[in-house]
Amino acid sequence: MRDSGRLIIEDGDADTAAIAAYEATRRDAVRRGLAAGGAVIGAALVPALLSVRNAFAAAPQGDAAIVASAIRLENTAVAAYAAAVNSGVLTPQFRRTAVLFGRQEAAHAAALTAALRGLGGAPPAGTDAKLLSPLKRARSQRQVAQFAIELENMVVAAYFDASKKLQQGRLLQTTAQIMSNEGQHLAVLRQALGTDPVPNAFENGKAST
Amino acid sequence: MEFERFALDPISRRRFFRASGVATAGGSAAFLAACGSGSGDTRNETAAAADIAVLNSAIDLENTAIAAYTAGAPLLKGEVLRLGREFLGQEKEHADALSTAVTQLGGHPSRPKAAYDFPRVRTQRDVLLLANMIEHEAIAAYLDALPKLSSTDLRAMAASIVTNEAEHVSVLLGALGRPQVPTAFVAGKA
Repeated sequence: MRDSGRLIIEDGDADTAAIAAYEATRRDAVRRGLAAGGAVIGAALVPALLSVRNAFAAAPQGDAAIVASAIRLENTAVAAYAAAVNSGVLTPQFRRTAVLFGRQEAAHAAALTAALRGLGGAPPAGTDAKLLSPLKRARSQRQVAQFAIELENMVVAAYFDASKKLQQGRLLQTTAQIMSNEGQHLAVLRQALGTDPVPNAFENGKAST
Repeated sequence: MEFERFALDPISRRRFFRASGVATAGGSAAFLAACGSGSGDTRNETAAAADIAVLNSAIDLENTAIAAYTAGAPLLKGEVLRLGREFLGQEKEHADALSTAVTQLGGHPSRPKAAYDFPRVRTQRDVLLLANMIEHEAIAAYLDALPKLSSTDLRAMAASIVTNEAEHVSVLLGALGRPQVPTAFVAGKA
């Protein structure tokens, strides 16, 4: 199932038709140049979206599996902000923002890792390398910001879906605190691009940016 | 400066929210009372009653925010005024959605109070501080309420609202000249 150009991640098995539809929409947008400079970077996020989809929709149910998926996502965000910081295209002010956001993603990963160990699980290692490759092609701060918005939207969407599945109240609160922080990242990034910082009354990471 | 002192004083804040009809941090006494064992329909009814109590507390906070943004609008200017109006509209959307949920559960949605006894605000900065204070209270309340809601849809709605309130806070902090994302975990504590 999908809404305006963004995949809705739902309970149950991964829906390859929905994923294909999402990819087609993205590619179409790129062809028509609707998303301007950020289109290429946005399209390149499809592999990451697939991994998010698989993690939160098709993964075995249960708090530990959801937290493990979230850790991998947070680690990917840490690596993305590190790549952004080293991209060489950021102003000093935006670079400081990227450093801060990366540090906050690392704090999320650490808290989730502790929670997972408490559940008896082993934290996953690594990141989604495919996700990071578009950043190497970023030629402007604007492109980096657009990439970060796509990424943050995916993370928010993942936590939104997790809020329907987590059983432990404490975990639910922790992930909502994290989701809120990612929403704040989005607001700042949107402001940096000169767009409406809070366009949706219900932030689920699935509305268009 | 007078308002800033008020906003920094936890006792004054608590008194203000109590006077506004807001049971702080979720107002979950009804939930605790409803947690006893039972079977079938009884459990469903008590769960619905608990959900209604939690949702009505959230509506009280949303109505307080609506009243604050409405009362403060004349003091706002330019882009801050535009954002204030947008945030007001979003708080109304939250209140509407929560009221619909309460009605669907068979309850009566909490109504706005006839009047809100806000501390005196004289400047745009005072309005931003008042809004920031109410948004923080709302975030703390939603986080407290989340695990108490019985249905996954209600939990997801609360998660999407609390994230929106956190975004409001970031913008308000920016307008106040403060760091916009001060903590990695948004807890809503002042």
